[in-house]
Amino acid sequence: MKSNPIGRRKESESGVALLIAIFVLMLISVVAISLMVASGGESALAGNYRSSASVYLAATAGLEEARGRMLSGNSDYFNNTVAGFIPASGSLPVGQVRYILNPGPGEALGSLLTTYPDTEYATEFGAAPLSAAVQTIASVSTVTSGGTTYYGPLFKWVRINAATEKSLKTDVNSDSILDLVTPLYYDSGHVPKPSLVVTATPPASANQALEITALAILPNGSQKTVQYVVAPLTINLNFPSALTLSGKNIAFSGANSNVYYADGTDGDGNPPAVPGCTPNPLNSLPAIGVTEPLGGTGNKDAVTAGIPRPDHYSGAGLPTPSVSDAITLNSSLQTPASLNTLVQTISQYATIITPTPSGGLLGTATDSDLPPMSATNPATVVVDGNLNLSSFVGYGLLVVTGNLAYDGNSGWKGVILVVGDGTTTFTGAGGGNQEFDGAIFVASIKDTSGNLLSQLGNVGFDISGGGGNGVYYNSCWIKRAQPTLTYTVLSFRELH
Amino acid sequence: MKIKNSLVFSTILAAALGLSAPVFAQSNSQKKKSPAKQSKPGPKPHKVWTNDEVGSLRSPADAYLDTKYRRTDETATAQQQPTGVKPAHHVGSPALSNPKTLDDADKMIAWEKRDVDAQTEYVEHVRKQIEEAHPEDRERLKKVLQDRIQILADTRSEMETLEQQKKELQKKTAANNKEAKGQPPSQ
Repeated sequence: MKSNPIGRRKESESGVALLIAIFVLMLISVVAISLMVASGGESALAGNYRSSASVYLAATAGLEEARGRMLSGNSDYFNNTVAGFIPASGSLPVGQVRYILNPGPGEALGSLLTTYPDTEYATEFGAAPLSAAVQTIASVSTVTSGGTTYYGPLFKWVRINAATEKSLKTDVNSDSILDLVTPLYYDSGHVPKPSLVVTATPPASANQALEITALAILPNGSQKTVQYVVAPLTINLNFPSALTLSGKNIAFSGANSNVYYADGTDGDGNPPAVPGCTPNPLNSLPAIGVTEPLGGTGNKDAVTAGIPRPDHYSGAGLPTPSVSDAITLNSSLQTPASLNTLVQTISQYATIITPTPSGGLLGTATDSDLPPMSATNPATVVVDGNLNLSSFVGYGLLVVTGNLAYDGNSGWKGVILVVGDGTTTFTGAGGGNQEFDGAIFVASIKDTSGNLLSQLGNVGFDISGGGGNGVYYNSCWIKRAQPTLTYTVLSFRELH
Repeated sequence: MKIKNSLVFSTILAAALGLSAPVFAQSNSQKKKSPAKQSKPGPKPHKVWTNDEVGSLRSPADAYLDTKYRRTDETATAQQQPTGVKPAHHVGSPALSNPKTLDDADKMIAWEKRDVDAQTEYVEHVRKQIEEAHPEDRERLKKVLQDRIQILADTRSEMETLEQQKKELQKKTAANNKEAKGQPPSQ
């Protein structure tokens, strides 16, 4: 019997199709598994990115809560909840530490710093803060309403403290030493350009630099520590004299009272103290400064001729009466347009704008229209019209666009800008014992219809009725009066 | 034959496992990493607001100013006044001395009296301030007190001078009246 070769071959190849099919199926399975695994990897990456972004945003939310609540105009201002939580004026001493605590669901406020310790502070300052120097406050990001608690961003704590060279690991003054104890200030008037400075006695143009550090931790364990260095941003007004009159023609009638003085020496008179600020008596300016837009000495002569008691006007080492027309004005005080912009800027941050405009005429506000204020709680007041003060002592920044009238028992600690009509009147005839500490600036920027002038108009300053103790230049009150517009971010770092 | 088939099958299986191994390895390595240590998403560039930008934000005060200046513009258009700058007028301010009439003297003395009363009160206030002041502020307040006591003394002295001047004016007035009475009526 002869064997069939074809049949033998068929027999030998039997099962190959099955093997090929299995192989193809396996390949498809491998590809499918690979795709599934790759997809899982992508999902994991996306998840990681999401949690990283979430924790970053949660931490920056903490920074922003701190930055916002340092502003006295904020309804959640720290000191509205805990008196003296941050210094309303002056500096936060190095070593003093403030925390905002933000416990999540099931976490206790009191143990938050134990559960999530601040190890970064010791890294910056070499040791943990003393417990006596630590104050805490609850975050406002978690809200309870109708019995339900709504949790905000998942930051755990935010720390606020004074910045030093050591904490920032930056040799600011290039002395090859990282100073641990001297606070840093941001000096906007630093020459040749604004800069951080290391000083225990900051100049008037400098404000303290503060560190704000926040830690956020998500339930999945992602965590982030970020840090701002911030400094308060103010209008940064400064004045060349105790009383500055800027205009085309100045009408001045000096005080008849023997008790009235105008003094350009910083801190003279009897002002209440501004914490953390000491006036410098060596900083002596003219009692009265005037501009001469028409050239010559017309305004200086007019003011000098209007002073009945020349020896009562002193400052800058000038012969009495101390009146100078060699003054330089801050750029925001130079023209009607810049002054108008300044008034609008101040209006945006005003504690109050009064009175309500009606009938196209300037209204008149009185003491009762002004908000409560004190040496520890100065206000920013914009009176869009006339203001009559009677036995009233104010603190802060006052803008009057009409006539400012006051008696001898009225005073102000801070800055007064009479820019509009540019007139002030002393009411009464003698008496009173209040004084103005800081600076007064008077200019006319509008016509009688309220239109902005192209050049400064005429100015009238009549104190012939006074009374009162006079006007005294005070750099501390000038600085204290100016509202903090915001805390400007000088630097931002992601620490961990 | 069976041996041949099983050899082919084993080769395919090994190849399949070989292909899938790196995929699982990659997967495991990803699982080991904690989420926080994954590659960081680049933080968005941090915007620092400048004063100008802050100033550009609108607030309720803007609405107020808009209303006000719209009103002012309408008034200005209606009135069509050119500049409206008020003329400056200079009024001389006499100090409190040399009254011309008895009435002036009375007013000046009353003025001085108000100043003296207010300063007396103020001196007492500074004395209390000194008692309650911190030691470092006490010296400054003592100087303020000294200055104000001097000012008070000067003011009292001025008032006395005015009273003297008033008496002289009274004498002068009386003499004038007497003289006027002594003269015969004109024909």
